[in-house]
Amino acid sequence: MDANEAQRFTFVIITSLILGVILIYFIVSLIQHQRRNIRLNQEKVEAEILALENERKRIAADLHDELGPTLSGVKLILSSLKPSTEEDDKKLNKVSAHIDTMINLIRQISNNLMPKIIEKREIDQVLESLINEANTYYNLKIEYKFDEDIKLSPDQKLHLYRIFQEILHNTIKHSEADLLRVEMIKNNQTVILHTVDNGKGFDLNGIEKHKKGGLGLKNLQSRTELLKGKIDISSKPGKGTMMDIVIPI
Amino acid sequence: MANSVRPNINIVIADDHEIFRDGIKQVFESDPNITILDMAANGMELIKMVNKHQPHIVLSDIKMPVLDGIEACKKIVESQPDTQVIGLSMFDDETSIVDMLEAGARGYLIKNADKSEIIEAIYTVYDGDPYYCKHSSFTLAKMISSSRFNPDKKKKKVEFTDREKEVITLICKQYTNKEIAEELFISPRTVEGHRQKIQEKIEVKNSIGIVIYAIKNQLYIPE
Repeated sequence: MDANEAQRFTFVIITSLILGVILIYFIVSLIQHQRRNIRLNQEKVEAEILALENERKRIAADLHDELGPTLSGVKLILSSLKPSTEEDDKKLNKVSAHIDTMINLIRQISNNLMPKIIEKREIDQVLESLINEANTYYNLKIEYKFDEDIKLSPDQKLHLYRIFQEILHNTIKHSEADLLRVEMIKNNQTVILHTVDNGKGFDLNGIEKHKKGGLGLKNLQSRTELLKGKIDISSKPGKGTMMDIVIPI
Repeated sequence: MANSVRPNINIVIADDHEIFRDGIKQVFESDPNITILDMAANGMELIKMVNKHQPHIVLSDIKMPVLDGIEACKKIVESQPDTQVIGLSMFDDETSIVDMLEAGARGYLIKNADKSEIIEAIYTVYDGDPYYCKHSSFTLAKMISSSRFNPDKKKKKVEFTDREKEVITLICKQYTNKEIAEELFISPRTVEGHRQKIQEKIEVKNSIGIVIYAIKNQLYIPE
């Protein structure tokens, strides 16, 4: 090997080293960029959920705390009227009854937006209230078993409530199941919400491609991520659906 | 009750909604025995007014800006022990009602209560008895009975007949008069008679009062 050839060889080595470094740098930053995008996207979804919940809370409070007392005041003023005929008296009673209906509607709407029970009770009673409601209105038998003494923060309760609400909704609307089993288990560092139905199941891959159908599942995932938890869904056509939501406490 | 001769009952009202204060004012204008001395828009104003006027009764909203009804009630009980407080709340705010009673209130009303009920509450509390709103749920009754609120402590022991005890237990299990009648093989009218008698004995106005009394005095132990 003469000097010239050696020089060329060194040149090639150095050039390919430089190219290699550039290429590696390029790949690494591409991966980093992608990861950042995923993270930002996730943060965006989380921020959206939090904004949504805050707005719901505000509307519920305005309805309940402002409109409610106002209607009660109107009712009291009406009740102080002294109608001169029997007919007027009847009308007055009717209007009063309508105001009562409005007050009850306001309570229902505000409770749907932000259930009061979440603030006041522990998670087992909160989920139980949803189960009782579903048991009364739908043709779905729900069996449940909850560990005692599960204590979650108000935010954790709210998100787990919404997660379970979504699962119930999916089971009732899409699964054709007549039985849903629910378990809530507490370990040292985690709470597991486990649900199984005996419905028709679905193709997980198919639903992720399907834009609108996957929205409920995306919602479940985002809520679980908000709780720093993990969700595991297994389902096959004809085999029912099983979900495990594991959240750290 | 309204027919008997009564001294004038002086009251102060507190609520942050003008229209509600206005409504309450209209209600009391029809009763010559009740005089509204002043109206406050929050707990701070209420305390000042109570110290100034020393009313018999305060009708106070629970949720108010600046200082809420619960804190105001504690202060009033401390500085004006002769003034009795009645809490006012929206129908589903059960925990607030319990907090208000624990703070020293002698009764509570739900905001969509009728005119007659509001007046009855004033007279009942003025006479020294606790007042439980007719609209209360059984959950609330159970919450109140297991709270620190104890209106019965000064009362002498009441004796019940065996039949009355049976009726009390069934009332606590949320049976209606008709259901109690079927269960005990008596007529619904007789059940109503027993119910009235029980209410007279323990000086309460409705089933909620019976439930609270029964649980407090261990005549009924909820599951």
